[in-house]
Amino acid sequence: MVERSWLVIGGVIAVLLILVGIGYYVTRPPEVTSIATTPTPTGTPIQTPVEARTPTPTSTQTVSQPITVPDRIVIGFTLPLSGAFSKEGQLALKGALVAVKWVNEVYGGVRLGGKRVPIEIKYYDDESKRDLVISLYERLITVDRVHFLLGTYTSTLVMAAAPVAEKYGMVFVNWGGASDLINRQGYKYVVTSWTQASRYMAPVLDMIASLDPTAKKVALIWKSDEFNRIVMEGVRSRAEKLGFTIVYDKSFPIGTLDFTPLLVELAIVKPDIIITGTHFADGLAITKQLADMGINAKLIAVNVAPSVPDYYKSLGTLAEGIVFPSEWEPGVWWGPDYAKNLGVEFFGPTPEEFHVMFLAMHGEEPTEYSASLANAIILLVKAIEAAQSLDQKAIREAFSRLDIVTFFSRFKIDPETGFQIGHQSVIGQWQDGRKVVIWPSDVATGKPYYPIPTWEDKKAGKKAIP
Amino acid sequence: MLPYYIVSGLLLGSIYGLATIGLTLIFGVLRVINVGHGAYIMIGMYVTFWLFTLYSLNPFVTLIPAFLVGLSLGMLLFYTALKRLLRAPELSTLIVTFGFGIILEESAKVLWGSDYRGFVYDLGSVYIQGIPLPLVRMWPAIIALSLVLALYFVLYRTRLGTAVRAVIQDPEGAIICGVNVEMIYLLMVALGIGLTTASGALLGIYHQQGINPYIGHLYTLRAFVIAVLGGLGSPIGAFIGGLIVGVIEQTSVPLFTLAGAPNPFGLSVFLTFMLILVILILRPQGLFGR
Repeated sequence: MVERSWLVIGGVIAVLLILVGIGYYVTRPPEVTSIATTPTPTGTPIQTPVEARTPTPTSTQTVSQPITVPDRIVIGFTLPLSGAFSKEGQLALKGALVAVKWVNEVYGGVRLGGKRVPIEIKYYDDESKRDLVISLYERLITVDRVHFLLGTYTSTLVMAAAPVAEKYGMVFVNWGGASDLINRQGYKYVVTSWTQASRYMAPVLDMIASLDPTAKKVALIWKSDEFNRIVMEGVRSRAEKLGFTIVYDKSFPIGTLDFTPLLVELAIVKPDIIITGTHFADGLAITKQLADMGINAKLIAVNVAPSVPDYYKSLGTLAEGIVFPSEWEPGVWWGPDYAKNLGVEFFGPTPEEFHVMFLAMHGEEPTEYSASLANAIILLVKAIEAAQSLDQKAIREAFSRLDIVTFFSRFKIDPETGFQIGHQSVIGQWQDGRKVVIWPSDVATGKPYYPIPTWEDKKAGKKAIP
Repeated sequence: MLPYYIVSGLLLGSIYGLATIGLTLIFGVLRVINVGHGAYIMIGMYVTFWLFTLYSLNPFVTLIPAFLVGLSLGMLLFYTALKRLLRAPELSTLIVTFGFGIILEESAKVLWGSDYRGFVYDLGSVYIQGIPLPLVRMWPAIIALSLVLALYFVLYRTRLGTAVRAVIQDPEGAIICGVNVEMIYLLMVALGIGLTTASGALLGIYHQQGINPYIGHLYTLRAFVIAVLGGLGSPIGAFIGGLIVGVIEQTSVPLFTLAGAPNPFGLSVFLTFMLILVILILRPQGLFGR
């Protein structure tokens, strides 16, 4: 009986070892192969990502060398199409589809090795889950063998994805994670294309300082996640420099639905300015509960949520006057003229072109998430063309050298860290059912409505029309 | 401000209590733990949302269709799965109820998308120490309390209730006494799910924002905590447990703030679980469990 048990156990272990072996063989990391420098007789053989992501010390400048050009360039990423960040993920995907259409149909494909190469996107729904992000990026690299990677949405998920890309030495364009910590990890291949969290909400205080020097009492309520923690660090730092007083500063855990205990304290403090650190779902909830409890302030700034058009759809006139930071808004024309003023090149669709294409494809206004993912694809195309290579190291170095303007504003990174230093975010406000850019003044599409209407007035139908 | 926090906690807690009664009722009668409990809360929220936004139906009236949808889902759950698994190992019913929950969530996602939805319905406020307490929070709590009292009446003052309690105590003895046990099982599953979707409708009115196919997850854990605290199988225990958790959630934040704790909101969750740990050490069957 004992021998039989041992036989069974031994058999199970043997089967497991065989399965592990097969699993490793199927999903093993690619072998190191050098880039083919001689074109094959067929002209455009499919180059596998195995070749594409091989870091070769001599491949930083391969412009003059003939390269093997694939019949298409596959860009992989995940998006939170369901779960807590589904709204932002779905909006981002729409932008990616517009960018692919522009690159392939308007621009004519990536100009690589004397040919025009179309791009293709390969994406999965990461369900807003960190563990799924990790396995899906592994899959994109080892099974789907995509040429390049883009990030997913929000810092928590990007922090899970970036180490996977780094492990395989693949360029990772971070368009959706704003936490400064992403670029403080010492990653060599992570390039961030939008304004980081520490500089995201802080301009709200610049605006108030110029509008109303008497408004000094600032209250902060924020979700204790990676992104909002850094956003609030930036706000505190700017508040100190500008002479504001933080009269209230409390966090709430992820998944909170009822903010009553914090809002009662807030009602007692009576701040001039309320700044919340939220995403879409909790941003909606906290706005509604501020209204329910009648907590007024001269200005209320809500992170993330108001930049999504559904915010107004859900809240109606309660959304009037609410201020929000945004990486980009339709109507802010960072166009060729802006590039000319800066003395740098403009690349990609013009703001008007992107706007028209987006409306035609999706029948709705683009958002900052749509624009940011679209921008990441366009930047990647530019970097490939600049490097004239599919080598990951060469592309990363091309990113370091890039200083251009796209419809999304300027792109310029710190070469060492990949930290974004060129991009400029804006401040928007809901006015009469529309999002209006109110800051910085040189690109503003309207004037700020300040102080914002009270909740009582808004419930009675008052709108924030300057 | 303590009175405000306590009142607010009782209001929230009464809906938590109602949301848990369905879970504990089904466990008490069938010894089945409905792991997909939160999905039925979500369905109730969507019923209210759609009927209000599409047909401008008063959200409180939507409680009736939400309850009826729950009754139907409960019957479906019983006839398609639970009836066949009454004598099956506990793991089988766990997997089936979990699967039903996933089917409901994914169906909601396919039908209505994964967007966060919300509506605005305002009834004004009453004031406690100068701070407004919205009536859209007070009325759902009063309705939840009324439903619990009605359930108490049914369970303890009617022949049906006597039959239900007989089945809970000894199913075989109840059969000998002429009770149609299968019918009691069906009724209690339907009623349990119906009360859960009704509580979803009330939570929809209470919060009004953030309705999405996965919102039930936020309530499932709370419902299990409350059910264990009150005593699994005890509907009245579930309601009292809900009130306790509601009051702790609301009052611990200011108390921890006064104590100078760095993250008072996070600590309120810690306090809830600590309380449950202590109660379970002293009374492993929960406050009202037998």
